[in-house]
Amino acid sequence: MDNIFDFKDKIDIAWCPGCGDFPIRKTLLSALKELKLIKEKTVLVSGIGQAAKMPQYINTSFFNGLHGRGLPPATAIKACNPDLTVIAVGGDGDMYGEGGNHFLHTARRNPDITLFVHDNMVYGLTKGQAAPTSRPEMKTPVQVFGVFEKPLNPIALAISLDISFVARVFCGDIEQTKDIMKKAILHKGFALVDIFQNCVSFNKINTFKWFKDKVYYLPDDYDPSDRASAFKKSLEEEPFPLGVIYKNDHLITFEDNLSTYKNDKSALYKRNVSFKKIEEEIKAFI
Amino acid sequence: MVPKYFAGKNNKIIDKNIEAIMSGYSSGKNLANIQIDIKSNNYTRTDLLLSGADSISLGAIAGGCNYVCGYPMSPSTSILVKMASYSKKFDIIVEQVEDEIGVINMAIGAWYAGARALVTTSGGGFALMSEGISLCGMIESPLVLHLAQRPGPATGLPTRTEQGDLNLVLYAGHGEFPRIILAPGTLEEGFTLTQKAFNLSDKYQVPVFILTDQFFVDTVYNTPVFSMTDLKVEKYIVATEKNYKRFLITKNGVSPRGIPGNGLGNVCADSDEHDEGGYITENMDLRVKMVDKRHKKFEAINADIIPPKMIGNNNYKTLILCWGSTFNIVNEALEDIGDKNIALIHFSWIFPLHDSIHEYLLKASNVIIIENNSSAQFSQLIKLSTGYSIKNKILKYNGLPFSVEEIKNEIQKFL
Repeated sequence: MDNIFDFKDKIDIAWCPGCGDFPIRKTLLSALKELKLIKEKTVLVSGIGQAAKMPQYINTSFFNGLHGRGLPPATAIKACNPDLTVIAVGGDGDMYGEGGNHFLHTARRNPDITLFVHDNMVYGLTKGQAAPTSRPEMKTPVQVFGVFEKPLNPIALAISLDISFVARVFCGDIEQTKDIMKKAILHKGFALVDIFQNCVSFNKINTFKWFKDKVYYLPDDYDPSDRASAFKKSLEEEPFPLGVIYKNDHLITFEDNLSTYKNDKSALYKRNVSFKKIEEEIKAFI
Repeated sequence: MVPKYFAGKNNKIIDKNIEAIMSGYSSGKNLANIQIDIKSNNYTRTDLLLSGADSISLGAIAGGCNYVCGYPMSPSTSILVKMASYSKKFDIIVEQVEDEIGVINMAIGAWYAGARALVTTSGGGFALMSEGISLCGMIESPLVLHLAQRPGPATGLPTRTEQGDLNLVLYAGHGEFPRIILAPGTLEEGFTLTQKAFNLSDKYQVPVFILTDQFFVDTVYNTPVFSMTDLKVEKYIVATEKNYKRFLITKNGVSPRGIPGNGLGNVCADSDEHDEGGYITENMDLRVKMVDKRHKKFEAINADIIPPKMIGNNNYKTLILCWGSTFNIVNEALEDIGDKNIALIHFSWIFPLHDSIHEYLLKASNVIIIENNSSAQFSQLIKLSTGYSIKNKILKYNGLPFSVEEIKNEIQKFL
């Protein structure tokens, strides 16, 4: 059966053959279809990077803005029209490096949007420099002596920020990834899915096989609502736990906190300002 | 007052504060021997009494503004605060963002989703927004940006005034794209131009700057009641068809602007060079077409430019030029001088410049420009647009606004 989120004609995709972005795209397309999302009410938002090209390859509305700046517009789009499903996509450099500050504060706002971060531990678009998630000792054309900065742990960071849905997946596991993508999109509140992904051209260390060998799935009886134990889990490395690591269903979203929607649920573009009320406000200065 | 404010504190604290007030009062009294003799005037009873910040805020609401974001920075914060005070009554979303980069990207996202967003900042904050302004240029996003100038560079004099950021707003953002710069001279213009800024921005899908300064936003005086009679919130959003193209090439360069969720089409905005549908392209012919399309909007905007305000006799010999916040001061100085050979033109529509400037300049035998900065930035813009070099400049950049007396003295030197 056709997928309304895919293009009828063949499209030109600017990723290297064998890139982990391909299975992520395929999985995302299936997730969108299975959720029966309305195409006209779905918006993909991204910054710049290989991952951030994703919106170009999904048949829906998109806002492909500046490097590192995906989250502020994504937050605003949802806030101005809560009827929309807003999904932000980016790479580890885009979201955790250049956009790090927005990541922290979007966590505080808790908008009802989903964030997929393609985490390949390297800069792909700019040809192989270190990413915030690069592992120690990785040599690159810039980090010629090997990376000595500590890698950023997005899962631990997200849990410390009380992001309401925190998950990690591996792009090679289509079914599990799709299941978590769907859960993340359905989750009310800010949802982060960190997606382990191989970069065939610029990361010869953290390969598809490396990821496959260094991950394990959390057991079915794992309780993601316990923040302290989730934080402990998030510190595990090699093997890294996969699945929904942390979840908090008790947070109010950014949109629900806005007085704008207390009595009127309609999107901002449908509203008109009352000139009579403005005249009253002007006269208040007499 | 003092015991009430410090209720719950002990008498020592209250006494110390009263002592501080009295000390300040006597210092002020001894500073200068000023006699103030103000008689009550009945006609002002029906006037408004408000600040520049109030006038900008009221203008924004009358322009249909429903999303405001900013990061606190003097002297622009008063607009953020005022708009927050209106947020409940007018259903405005007001958000203090983590940094100015987030501010501008959030505001652009808000316009993309159909809101009418306002950003308020000062020079240092705006410097961080340069890439965002460039994004407006590429995705042809409307945006209204209020910048209250203070003296720079860097932190400069945070609580003082200057007209030093004209070049900043004129050239900010990499690449080439159109923009509009407005600089109100009076409270009434603060209201009407801010109102208009939202319509212009929506109509032409370009960033519109409201360029004020500390002197303008913080000054309070009386002015006749603002009229809403001829005002209208002009919305240019279209419902999209199935094969909607966000960047459709049209005769005047302006494409019908759809928003996601309103119609059947995809609304695709991309910071890369793109085709009419918003998809990335490396096609060089298309690149040229898209640059031309964006540039074409300048021609369309020309029809809407508000000409400068001319005060005085048409047969002037001396022409005084000023822009933005200096209007009332210069106007009063010229009224005091009372010379029929002197005329004033004041610009509140700064860029693109109105064509009439050529004629005004050519008719004068003596041209004097007055600017609250050190390099006469507006005269540079005039030279660039007309080739005319203004030699006589009255400039002030110590952090204070001009005084009427100062202007009178300085003008006399050039007569």
